[in-house]
Amino acid sequence: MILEGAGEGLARLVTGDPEVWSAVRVSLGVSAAAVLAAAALGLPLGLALGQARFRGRGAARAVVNTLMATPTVLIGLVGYALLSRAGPLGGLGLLYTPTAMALGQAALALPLVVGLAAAAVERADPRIAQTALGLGAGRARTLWVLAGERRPALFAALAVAFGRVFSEVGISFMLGGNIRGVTRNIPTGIAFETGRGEFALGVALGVVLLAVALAINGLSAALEARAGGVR
Amino acid sequence: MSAPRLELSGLEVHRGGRLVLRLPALALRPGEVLAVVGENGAGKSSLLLAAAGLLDLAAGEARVDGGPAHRGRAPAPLAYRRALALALQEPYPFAANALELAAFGLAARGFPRPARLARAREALAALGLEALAGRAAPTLSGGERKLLSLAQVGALEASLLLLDEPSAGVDRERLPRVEAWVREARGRGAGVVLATHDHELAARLGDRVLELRAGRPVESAQ
Repeated sequence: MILEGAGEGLARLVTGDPEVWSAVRVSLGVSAAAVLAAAALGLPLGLALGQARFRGRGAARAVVNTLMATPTVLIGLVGYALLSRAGPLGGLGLLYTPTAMALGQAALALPLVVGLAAAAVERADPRIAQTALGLGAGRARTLWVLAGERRPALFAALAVAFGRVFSEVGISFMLGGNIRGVTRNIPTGIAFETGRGEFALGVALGVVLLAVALAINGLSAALEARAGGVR
Repeated sequence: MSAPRLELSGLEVHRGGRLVLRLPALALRPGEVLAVVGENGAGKSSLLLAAAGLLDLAAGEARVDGGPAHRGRAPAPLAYRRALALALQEPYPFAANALELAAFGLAARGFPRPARLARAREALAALGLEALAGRAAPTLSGGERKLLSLAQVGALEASLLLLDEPSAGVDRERLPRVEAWVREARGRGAGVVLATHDHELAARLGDRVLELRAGRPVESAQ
């Protein structure tokens, strides 16, 4: 039955089935927006957290590390409470929109980006900052130099965040509502179609999910290799 | 009388929970070269990094040109660090070309691009590195990187030069050029602290030699 589904699924993928490609578009659009937002806020925060030295820094790192493992249904729950009609942000009418999904996924990605960016800076060769500071660079420029030298690790952080939000189900279901053609993305599509016994569609979507994950990993590995080759 | 180029008092530095340097007092006059010698782990690099304002001071303070002090937590204030320039023992191979790297400190000080590149070119030329200007640092040899790190320092014309093993890995033919470069800095009134394994180099270049052993001064010659 699964094999049969797989064959039909691949066929639907190749023939450009609108149901499949709509879910792919929603997934890519929502997750890309979420990771961009998380990067804009999280990269500077993570770089600063990795380099800064202040009382309570260890506690801050521990909090970020804990948030990195936040269950998606918890974010979905909090997001729902905020965005539902009776919630404090209910007036915005965002519930069950791609925007709500992107906001929820950004909340999932943010601690990942912050934590991994901080780790990238912490693991950086100490000579990078020593050179910059020893030649009279300010803190911001020193962070900029560090970020430049750690580009592959920072990209890898974004790739991990994208992989996480791209494949999550909880937030998408609770904040998106799995509305066909609007908020149905790949993971909610798979869950929904499988529940109905429609394996073919599920398999087709699963193949796209894997292909995108593979592409991102490949890109990340290529960047890492290029940077490694220069040293 | 002008303030010392570098003044250290009651300096104590810990690294990894261990005392690595204890230096009661040190003053470096303008136009003076202090050569710091000692075994591996004697505290030479710690002295330079602490003087550069990059290591926490467990006790004491450091001043350059009588300006703001570095005490307690590193990094030292920007005004402290901008009075000096540091060349690391093993320069990091940044992914940029030699000219841009030589101009780095000037860029940090807000020099407009044409001015800083012109000065960086001069700084490279002063060490015979004109031909390397367009080369990416990771493609340079260890000795060339070392010379480039000196050019980064030279471009700044700082009051205080902190040079960690400036001759390490440098070709024999190029060594006189490095020595002349240090003497030139001294000639324009800069203070120079250089750490070296090479006792002969220390004797040739140093107006004073400070020997460190287990983080403490052993003797002062000359």
